[in-house]
Amino acid sequence: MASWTSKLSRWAEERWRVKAILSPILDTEVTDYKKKVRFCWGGMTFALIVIELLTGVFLAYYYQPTVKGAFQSIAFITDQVHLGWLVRGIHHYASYLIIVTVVVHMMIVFFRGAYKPPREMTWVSGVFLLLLCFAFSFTGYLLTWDQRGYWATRIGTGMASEIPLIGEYLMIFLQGGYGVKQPTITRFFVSHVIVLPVMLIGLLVAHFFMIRRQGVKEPF
Amino acid sequence: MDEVKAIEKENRAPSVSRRKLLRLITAILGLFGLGAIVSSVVAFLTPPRSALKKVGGWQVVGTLSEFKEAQSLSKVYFGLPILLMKEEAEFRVFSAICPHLGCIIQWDQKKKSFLCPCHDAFFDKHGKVLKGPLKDALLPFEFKVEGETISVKLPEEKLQGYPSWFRITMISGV
Repeated sequence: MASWTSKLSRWAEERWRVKAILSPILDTEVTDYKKKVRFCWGGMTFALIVIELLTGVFLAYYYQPTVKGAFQSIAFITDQVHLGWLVRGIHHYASYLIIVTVVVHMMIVFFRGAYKPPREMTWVSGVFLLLLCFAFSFTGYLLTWDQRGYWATRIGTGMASEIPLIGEYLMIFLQGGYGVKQPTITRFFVSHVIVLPVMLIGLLVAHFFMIRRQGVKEPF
Repeated sequence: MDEVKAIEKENRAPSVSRRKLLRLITAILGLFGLGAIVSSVVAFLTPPRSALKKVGGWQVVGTLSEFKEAQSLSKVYFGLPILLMKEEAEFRVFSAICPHLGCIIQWDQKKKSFLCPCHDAFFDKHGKVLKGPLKDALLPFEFKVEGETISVKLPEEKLQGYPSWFRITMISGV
């Protein structure tokens, strides 16, 4: 008797002929040289990003992006919601870990010379992904609306304001007005949960597409 | 005549077919359209003027009798920390935000000067820099004493020359 998975795959194959699309993506052998820790840092980063997306969605069910509600709702998640402390803790610490794995990933790619043609566009997309990570960190930091988040944002937007000519405009643009207030939380929240994730997923698809088409650079 | 025609042919403008011209015009029009969309999005995301609320004007911050116990008073003007100083009959008010990087300054009675603890900056009693990693003096506030009450006002015209984060902080309050 056929297993339920093979039954399911036959059922899908009969209807949509999915094998032609999926098998080049899924039926790929992992060569021995790739089964080493140094080839895992990109994958670890991706795993952490998936964790961030999942825990982030859970947190968004309770978080209130308002001056009065932000800190309170996070305290509520941490103290009252079942396993809320765990979800918030994972979201918090995984965000730190992503920076670690991303930097290690980038260094290994750099020292292996894997950024060189024909893989230079993979590197470029990776640089934009790194910038996205910083944008995620910067916007997420404010959302707790505690002293640390508030002042970190004041410093960040203050740095932007020092840019010649456009600095003041940029600061007002980032903050949504003078000062770090309600409009700033709204802006950072929308960026953190909608705009940046969409950009992230788009760039990741491009990043992975190029890696799968070209393969990982072989050892010397 | 053939020679003339040959020269004419040589000097003819590069041929642009009708199709090419139309394509070019479409591309230019398309760029305008793209510019209209991008500029509209940026304009949408830029906070409107009415959202840029400023603080300012006179605010009562304390009474003269509070000076009986201390020579300096820490007060708040629209969320901004300020320092009120009284030396015999002389009276002065400063923003307590250090124009260097925004730490809160305090009056050091022993050294008779203002001290910013973050980067070891000292200011004299008129707010001028004595020592430290900055050039800007402390921002003096306007003040008036009516009977017992002390009112202060942000001097917007004196903000010129200060770093932009400082100016924006001052006009926005906290």
